Amino acid sequence: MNVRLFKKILGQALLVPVLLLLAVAAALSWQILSLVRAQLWLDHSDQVTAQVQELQKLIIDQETGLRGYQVTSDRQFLAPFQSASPLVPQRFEALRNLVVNDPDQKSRLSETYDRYEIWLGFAQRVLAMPPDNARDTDLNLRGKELMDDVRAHIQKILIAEDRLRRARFVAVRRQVRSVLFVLIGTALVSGLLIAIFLYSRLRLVSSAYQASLDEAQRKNDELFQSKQWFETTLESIGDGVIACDDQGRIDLMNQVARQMTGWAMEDARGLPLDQVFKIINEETRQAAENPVDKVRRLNAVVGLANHTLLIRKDGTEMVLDDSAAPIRDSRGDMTGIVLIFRDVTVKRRSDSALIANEKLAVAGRLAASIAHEIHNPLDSVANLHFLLRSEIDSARGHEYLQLAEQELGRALQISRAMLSLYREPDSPISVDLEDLVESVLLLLERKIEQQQVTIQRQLSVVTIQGFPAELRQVFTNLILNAVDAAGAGGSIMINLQPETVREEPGALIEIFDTGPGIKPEIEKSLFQPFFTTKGDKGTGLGLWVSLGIVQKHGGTLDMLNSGHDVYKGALVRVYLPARTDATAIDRATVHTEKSTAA
Amino acid sequence: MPEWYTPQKLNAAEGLTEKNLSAVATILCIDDEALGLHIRKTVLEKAGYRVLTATDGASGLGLFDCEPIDAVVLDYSMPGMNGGQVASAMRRSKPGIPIMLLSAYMHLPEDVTSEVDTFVTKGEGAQVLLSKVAQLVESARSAEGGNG
Repeated sequence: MNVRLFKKILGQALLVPVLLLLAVAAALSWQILSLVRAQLWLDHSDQVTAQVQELQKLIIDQETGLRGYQVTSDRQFLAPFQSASPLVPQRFEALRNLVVNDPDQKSRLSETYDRYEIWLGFAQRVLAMPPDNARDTDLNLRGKELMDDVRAHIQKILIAEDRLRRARFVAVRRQVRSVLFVLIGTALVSGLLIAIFLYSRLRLVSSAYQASLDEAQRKNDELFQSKQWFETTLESIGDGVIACDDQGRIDLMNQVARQMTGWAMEDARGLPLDQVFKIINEETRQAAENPVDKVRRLNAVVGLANHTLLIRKDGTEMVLDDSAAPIRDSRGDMTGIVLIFRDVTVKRRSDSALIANEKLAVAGRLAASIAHEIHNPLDSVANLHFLLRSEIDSARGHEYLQLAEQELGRALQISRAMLSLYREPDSPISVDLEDLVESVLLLLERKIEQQQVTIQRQLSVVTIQGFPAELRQVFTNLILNAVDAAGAGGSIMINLQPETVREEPGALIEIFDTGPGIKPEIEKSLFQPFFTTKGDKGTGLGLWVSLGIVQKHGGTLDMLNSGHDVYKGALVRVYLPARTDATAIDRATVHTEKSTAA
Repeated sequence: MPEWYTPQKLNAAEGLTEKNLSAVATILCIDDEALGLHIRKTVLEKAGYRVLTATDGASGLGLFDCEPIDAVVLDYSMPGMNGGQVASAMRRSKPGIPIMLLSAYMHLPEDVTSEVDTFVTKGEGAQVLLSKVAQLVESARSAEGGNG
């Protein structure tokens, strides 16, 4: 449930009861108004009755005065009659106004007034008579009759009003009951409605709240699981992992990282990376650039420089291979740095072993031809030695000796070429590539002849800096590969010329063959160690080692399909720069992502 | 090629020309190593043999077919036809003639060594060569004699 919906429900919970209560109040007000109206009518009846009684009293006063006068003929008794005379019509007028809306009472009133007029007419006649005549009994009876008629009419009005009053009283009581009924009814109904409404709203809010709680719990569980998952993964992987915050302080180290650095997590947490992860250059022993600074500077994934040594807490050292990457938040801002590294001491050793192994394998590939190249001159020398023993002609003996020397020289040349595959200077020296390729071809000549492959060569004089034994190994490999690919009756062409790549002068060696070319499915595997198309005859390390050596010299090695008219097979292109920063201990193994990342 | 190196001169020096040619065994030497071949020829001639030489399998087979040959000394490792192939061809045309296979390699395939009569590694020395050649010629001669 979002906040807007919640506010809406809150508003409803406030507004709906108020509206309902207003409706209840309106109904009650209407009921009370009705009650007040009924009460007014009751009061009206009382007023009418009181006025009628007042009128009756005045009329009786008049009659009493007249009687007194009739009996005594004393005008003093007329005082009440005289004083009531102006008041009676006023009373009638007031009553007429009171019952103006009740036609029955109105007609009764006017009938009563008529009878009173008649009696008044009688009274005036009596007053006009001589006093003695007024004492007549008949006259008295006549007066009494008229007055009785007046009284009877007044009584009618009173009785009618009393009936009205009683009906009105009943109405008032009914209205009181109705008010009570409405009051209780609306209170109950509105209370119930408010209760139901609030209940439903609260249910809504409460279920949303429960859903939020469940969601929070679920997220919490997920977070926990994901944390466990990551922690287990981190702890299980074989590489060291260190995560730092954006200031380069250590947040987390996995088990391998703890083992490799020799630091416990509780000691290392919060420390600057360079205190725990001390790295130096293997050769110069100078501190290497802090990966955190490097990542911050480049804002990208970076690799360590080659030959990085980690100094552990106990002072021991190991060779590292590593990379560092920025951790970014959803907006892409850097919030930390993660460092991944592994101990490549063993890998370095096994790479060295593989490289040494491949050197031996090259020797193996050459063994047959070396044996041939050495045994042939040795055979001649042995034969010459036999001839010399029985030779008495000194001139001829001298010739034999010269021949023997020539053949020994040949054997020595082969043996030197063979040895130069292994003997290496400590730093790069000037290498005449033409000479180097020729000496490789000398070693391979026999094998090439045997495989009935012909060689074309266009070699210019190009001199570069480098390690000749390693370069010999490269060209021995590449030429033998080309010879194998060309097969019996095939041919290969070797070109050597100066070449400038990215303003860097150097040499380009191209080896074409007439073989079947490179199949697309093996193209990607060519430079992988142990990949071979030659079964037991190949170690699968030749191209891998060759690429490593060429890269070490700062050059490039590519294999492609030539597209040449005559040499339709593969083309190997080796570029070697004239100057190289390579040192004797530089890794000759292939480095792939490192070279681009670092 | 040095002047003394011609067979005539060598034979004259050794005085072998006067010998009955029919008694002299003829050896055919085939090797692509020209210098080694001629030194080997000198050794064999000094031991009294008549020596024919060829520097490749094809020309060797040509000589083998048209010349009377008593034994063949054949190099294994040659461009084009190798010694094994040359030996097979020789066996097909004249199966009786003994063949010695010379090689710089220590180990040769068995189907090759089974094709020839004997096998010598290069560099073993002239005495080994000569004694084996003598054995071959002797065995061939006695087989011929035995046959009639």
